[in-house]
Amino acid sequence: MSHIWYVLTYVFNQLAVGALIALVMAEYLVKDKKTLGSYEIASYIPIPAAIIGVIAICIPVLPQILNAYRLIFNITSSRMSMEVIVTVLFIVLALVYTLLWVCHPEYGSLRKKVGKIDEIADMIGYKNRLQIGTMAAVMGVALLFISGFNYVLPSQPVWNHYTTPLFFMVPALTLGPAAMATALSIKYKKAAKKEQTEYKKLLGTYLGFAWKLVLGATIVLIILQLLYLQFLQSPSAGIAGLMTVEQILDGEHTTLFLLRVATSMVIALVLLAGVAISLKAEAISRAATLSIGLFIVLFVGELLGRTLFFEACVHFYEVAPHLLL
Amino acid sequence: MTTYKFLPDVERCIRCGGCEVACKQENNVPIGMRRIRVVTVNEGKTGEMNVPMACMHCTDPACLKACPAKAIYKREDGIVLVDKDKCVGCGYCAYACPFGAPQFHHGEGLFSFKGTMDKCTYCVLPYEGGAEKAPEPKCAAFCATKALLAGDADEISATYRQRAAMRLQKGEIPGE
Repeated sequence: MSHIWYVLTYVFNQLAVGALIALVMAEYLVKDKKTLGSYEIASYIPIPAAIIGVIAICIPVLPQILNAYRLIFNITSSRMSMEVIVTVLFIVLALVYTLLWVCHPEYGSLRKKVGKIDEIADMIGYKNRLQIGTMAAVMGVALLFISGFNYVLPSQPVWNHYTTPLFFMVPALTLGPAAMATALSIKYKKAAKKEQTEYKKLLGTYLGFAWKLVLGATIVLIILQLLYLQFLQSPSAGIAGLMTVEQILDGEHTTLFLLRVATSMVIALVLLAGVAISLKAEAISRAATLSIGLFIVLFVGELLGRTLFFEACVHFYEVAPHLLL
Repeated sequence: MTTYKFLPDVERCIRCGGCEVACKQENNVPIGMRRIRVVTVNEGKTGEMNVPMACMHCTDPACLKACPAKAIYKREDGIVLVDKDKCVGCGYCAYACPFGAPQFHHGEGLFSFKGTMDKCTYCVLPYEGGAEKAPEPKCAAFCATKALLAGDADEISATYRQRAAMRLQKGEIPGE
């Protein structure tokens, strides 16, 4: 329970970064302006998700929140300082990128609706959107890497492994495209169901793309999980690793681990197969429903995964005296 | 220049908890937080060993490097302290420290705030802060078996080596 805010922060950050990457990728791949405009709904995901993440991380330090500006004071040696700075940069770039979507003169849903934001967007220039999006995506990847790398510490043998930052980065590629697929599915499912070929094609194309991306990332996640379990039993992880693996496979965190595997891996793969079959049968509406289910499962799975990451870790100080023997 | 350190002589510790009590009393450490604790290894088995663990006032403190707010500092005499007015309570120092020295008020509720970090100050600062005192750690002073050595690094390591030599002379095998 003590790590719940960290868990929420990291999962929402993954969602924000993943959704932004998915949108930038779509922008790179889709050349038709009209189709691209249909993706505008997905631009509403990154910023709210990132803001929820920031709020969640602020809660445990609320009594000292006025001191929070100090978090950037040790950039030379503290990875936490770097994480804070990269988070701010990511949010700023993602905000500009979102603005350029939602204020777009042709398909922006907030165009001429909210104060003077159109003027700001016009000033930045819509031609620069892809470049800004790419920069935001790079910053997002850096953010997830640093978030994970924060925990690669000699004092935490269980986390002192290359898989730790990867566990923070790879799920973004499952959550992001799935979230974008969900947003599109919610918006266009009804239209696609009514045999409107245009929306059917749009949804079908995107779901086909997202399906492959999520499948690839899920397979990587499974491999990472296996490599991590192997590492925990290696001499580098030491007694802490053995105790952690015991807690995960046959101890107080087994249920959490099994639920994580079931959601992020097993059910996710089953739903991905369902989406693939539906797409092949051109049952776009069914594929859209399954995609929504897939996002929910992946989101819950990642919440469980991050919880397991913090809760199951046996710290060095718990086993340090054993080393005297 | 004096460099203050702790050196636990695990052959002598009997886990009476005197160090923990003396520390709490001297520094007004609240319930749920311990600046020093005795960890027992192999309890009830051959090779049982008690290890008093506090902040080791490391030569190159990992907590100091990890602290994003630059709230942790090291005095010239080697004592590592935290400025609670600068601490944000992020808890990152607790992950970086291999000895579990940084302490936070970890509650079970959703909104149980951590508060600022607290750790062993070598008895120069009580829990609430204030003016710095002379470094005379009460945990070591009150240790009934003198298992916890505190003082200048050179002096305590010489004492420890002397003890180890005497034990070997007596034919004692460490850990037995």
